[in-house]
Formats: sequence, structure tokens, C-alpha cells
Amino acid sequence: MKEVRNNIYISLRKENGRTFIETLSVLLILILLGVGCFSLSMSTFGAYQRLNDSKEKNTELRVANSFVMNKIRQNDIKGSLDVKSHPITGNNALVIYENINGEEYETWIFHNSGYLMEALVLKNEEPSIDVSQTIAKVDSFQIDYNIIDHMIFTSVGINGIKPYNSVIKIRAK
Amino acid sequence: MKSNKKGFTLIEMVIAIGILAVLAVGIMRLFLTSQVSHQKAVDLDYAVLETNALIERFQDIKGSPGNGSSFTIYYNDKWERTNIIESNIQYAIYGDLAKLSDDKAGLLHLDLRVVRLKPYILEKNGENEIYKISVIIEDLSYWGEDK
Repeated sequence: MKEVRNNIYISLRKENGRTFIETLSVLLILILLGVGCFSLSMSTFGAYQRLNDSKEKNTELRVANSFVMNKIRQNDIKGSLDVKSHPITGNNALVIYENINGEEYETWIFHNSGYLMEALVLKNEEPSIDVSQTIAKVDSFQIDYNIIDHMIFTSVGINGIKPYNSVIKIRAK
Repeated sequence: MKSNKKGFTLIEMVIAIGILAVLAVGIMRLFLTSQVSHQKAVDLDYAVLETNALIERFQDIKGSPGNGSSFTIYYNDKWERTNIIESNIQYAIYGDLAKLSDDKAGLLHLDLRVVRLKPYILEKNGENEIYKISVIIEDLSYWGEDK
């Protein structure tokens, strides 16, 4: 009788504890939960970063394209617009001729070292980088002037996304 | 009597994973919505650029169409011009060009409508209108090119 009571006691004690397989299952579920949380936060971070990068790139392109288009439209006066090779970078640049208080000025809009830049200088003065200010962070800027059709073609681009191409017809001939 | 139940039960763990799954779905949906709205903004940008370029090119038009003419330009998912035969057509610009009226000779009416042919993620609409513009342009054959 005493032996039977001891066996029941041992059996009860076993039921109160945990088996190895139970502990292992709980650990596995905990690891699963941890991995799930980690991968979720990492993918969320990655997705947010990609989305934000893309938005920023498009904003820069929008700013650059809008700036160039507005400059052309505002200065669509006979003899005010030209496309010339920039003396420092060698790339095509938009040149706007202005007369401010009797002085002849030139505004150069060009691309240099990953930025769209603008320089306001006296006529025949070199539009150096020191006197230029940055407009937008873009990887490329191309501009061409078709004198026969009176059209200016522009393209601003950032690596990885389609460039913003624009065509503008010059009204002042 | 002292309880020996420390830690989590299977039910608690399942509930925790369930809550995590619901949260994950919510976050994914949030990101997808954000992605779609960004895509719509980008589409609007390219739609405006393409229609503006078309309008500028139409400033050179010489000779008005008889009873009006329609045209369609197709684009792929990267906003590159493509033809109807290609399967990855994603956007289209529908254009209509007609005389403004008989008493307003020399003026043409140009209607442009940009649509996305495939639905955005999480949306069911087959054809989404992105941008629409109507302009009046001059027929150079009437006015002369050096007017």
C-alpha cells in the first residue's frame, strides 16, 4: 500500500514539471516569434528607406525640371536665351542674357559634380563654380537647342529612375 | 499552494503570433498604400511632362484636320513609348484634335487624356485617369509661320 502511494506521488510530481520536448517547443516558438519580429522590423525599415529614397529622388527631379522650365518661360524674349558649352565643365548649359540697371549679365544654368547649378555673372565673365549656387542634386542635365524648330529639349536625371524629359517651344524668334 | 506555472502556454504564444501577424498585415498594407500614392505622384509627373511635350510639338502644326482626328500613344511601365503589339503596355495618351469652330478659323482644339491601363496594387479599377488637359492651339497654315 505504501509503495502504491509513493508511485502516485512520483507520477503527480512528474505531471507538475515539464518534459524536454515541451521546453524545446516553447523555445522554438519563442525563436520563431523573435525571428518574425526581427524580419518584420528589418523589412519595414528597408521598405521605408526605399520608398523615401525614391520620393526624394523624384522631388529633386521635379525641382530641377521645374526650375529650368520656369527660367526658359520667364526669359522667352528675343535674344535672351541660348545654349552654350560651359567653359569649365564642357557640358551644354542654358545661358540667359539680362540687362539689369544698364549692366549686361549672364545667368548660367549647368551641371557640375552631381548638382544643377546657377551662376549670375557679368557678361563675358567666367561662370566659375565658386560664384555658383546649387539648385538640386541630380546626376545628369542635358540641354539642346534646335534653332530651326525653335525648340529647347531638356533632360534631368538621377541614376535608377527614368529622367524627366521636357520640350519647350521658344515663342520669341 | 505555490503555483509552478511560469512562462508562456502554447495558447498565449499562438495569440502573440496572431497579434504579430495582424500587425504585420497592417504595416504591409500601410506601405502598399504609401507605395501606390507615390506611384500615382510619379505617374502624374510623367503624364504632365508627356502632355506638355505634345502640346509644345503641336505648336508647329500646319494644316487642320478635316472633321477632327484622334490618336493614341502607348507607353510601357517605364514611360517609354511603345506600340500596341507589345504586351507590357501600361499607359496611354488619348488625343483629339479638331477645329475650334467655323467662325474661329485658324484655331484648333486639342484634348489630351492620360490613363493607366492596368490597375494599381490594392485597386480594382481597370483604367485610371491620371491627367486630362484641353488647350487651344494655332494652325500655322492659317496664320503663317512668321505671324
